[in-house]
Amino acid sequence: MLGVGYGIASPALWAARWSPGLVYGPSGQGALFRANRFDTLFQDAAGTIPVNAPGQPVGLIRDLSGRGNHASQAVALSRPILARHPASGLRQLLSNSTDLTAWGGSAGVALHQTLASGELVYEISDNDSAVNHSRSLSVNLTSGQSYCFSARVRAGSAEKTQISCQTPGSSAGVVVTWSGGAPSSVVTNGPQTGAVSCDPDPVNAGYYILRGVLNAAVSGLHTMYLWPSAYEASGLTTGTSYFSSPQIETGTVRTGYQAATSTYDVSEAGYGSVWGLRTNGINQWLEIAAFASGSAGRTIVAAIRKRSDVARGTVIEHRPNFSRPGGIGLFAPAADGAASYGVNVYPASSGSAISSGYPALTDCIVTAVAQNGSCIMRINGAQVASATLAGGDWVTFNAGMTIGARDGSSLFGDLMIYGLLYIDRPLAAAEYARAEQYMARLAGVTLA
Amino acid sequence: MITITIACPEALIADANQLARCIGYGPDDDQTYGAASWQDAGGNRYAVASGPVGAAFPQAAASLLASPQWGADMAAAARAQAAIRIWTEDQPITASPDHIAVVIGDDARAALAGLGVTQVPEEAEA
Repeated sequence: MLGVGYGIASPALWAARWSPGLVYGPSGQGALFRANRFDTLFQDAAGTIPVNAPGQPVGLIRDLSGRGNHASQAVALSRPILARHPASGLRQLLSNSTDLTAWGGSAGVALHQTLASGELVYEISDNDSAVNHSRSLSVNLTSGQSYCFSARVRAGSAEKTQISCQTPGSSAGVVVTWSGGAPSSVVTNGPQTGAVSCDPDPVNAGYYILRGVLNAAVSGLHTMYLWPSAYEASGLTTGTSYFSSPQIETGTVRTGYQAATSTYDVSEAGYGSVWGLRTNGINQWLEIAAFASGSAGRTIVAAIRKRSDVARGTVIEHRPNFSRPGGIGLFAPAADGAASYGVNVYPASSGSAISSGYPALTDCIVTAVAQNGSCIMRINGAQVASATLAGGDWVTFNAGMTIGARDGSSLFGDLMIYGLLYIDRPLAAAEYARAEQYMARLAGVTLA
Repeated sequence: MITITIACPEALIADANQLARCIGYGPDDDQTYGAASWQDAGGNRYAVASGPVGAAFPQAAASLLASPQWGADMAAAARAQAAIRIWTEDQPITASPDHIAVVIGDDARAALAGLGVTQVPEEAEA
């Protein structure tokens, strides 16, 4: 028997048992997805091959709203990918920081040792006195942004050890040269100046953390190099150096190391993982078969990471697009090149759009609530935009929806989708606040 | 699994979709290449696809084609197969109207940048 204060109407009990599935009630229509519910994920559209590891395609994700509005993708290459990253947030930009044998380049490379932390150390060697050799990996960087590139190093037989981050085919970039030993022996001698440092590894004796800061002058493909010997023609040497745990991240500071075994699998010691569906902004998306949305309004609550601001991307939208009576669409970003989120609605006879600035590479809870006469957008628990809707009252709409692209043919979103809720009514403030808290936990986001 | 990224010239989309139908997982794979919404510096258009495939894919894509149980235009698939070029460090390639360029690697965006194609900007919404 429940005691006083813990009856059925108790807010404390309700809070403990609240689930976004409750908002659908007996008659609400919509869909609810969670990427961390592996029991709802399948590699094929028919739902016969389970998903149980990062890097696997998701051809079917079952709807948790109880409405049966599952999302699927029949085309193999168009399926989103299950991915995970640390709950501390994804900072590592390298797609592989753990296996230097898989990096490009012609320098010799061999596994040297495994540190107590589990991080792998590689011996990289260059025995050619005529040409310098390295190991390298490409990464896309954005103009105007500062990037910290770093690696743990230990001196070997090489006279100098270097790490660099450069634009291939040009001289743009920062080179960090370390002569071994004292941290003061580190210099930047590349074609571009940038902050550099060398700090003793507080845990692993004999190791140092080399760091450089590149202020990217152009957007596009850059390359991180690990050089076991000097880079300049005037200083050609041969020998070996030891490298582990390379990292590139935005900003100027090396933060805690995040191990990337692939672009879909990044982990960090001491932190749990958050899981999401990665759509690549190129061809990956999911579709929900047509269902009837009612005439009360619309709500979308999305836990997403917008991975790029380059081109307008769809989070979820009615087919063929929002611009039909009763339609809605959520976009990240809202327009090509815009650091924003946006909502487009079409209640009955005309459309309205609202958007709000918010840059890429951040995890966000984005909420759109549209009722008769008005629409609001919230980001991370705070209202950021609103509009008066002049297009009449909402009408019923029988249509499918797409996730990650407009109608499967354009506006491909470059996203990580942790969770997604759509319902055919405007949620009350208390309801969407709870839904946002729920989604925030999925993404590791702290609400305002 | 490995990730492949493919830039298919506009004129080869129909053939490439038959190849995808032939070596893919089902008949729906003939919709792998959609609109040619990417372009190279010369303005040539490409359909782009990227995603995970089995590690044996490169070998399978170069092997003698067998008609799948759901059928395919084998002549078209063979034409597409003959046009495939795979990027390697020793023989880097860029996208070109005369071949289907394939890059093996996790980072699709980096692959496309390396192939020299960019997305055609979407037209402004009415």
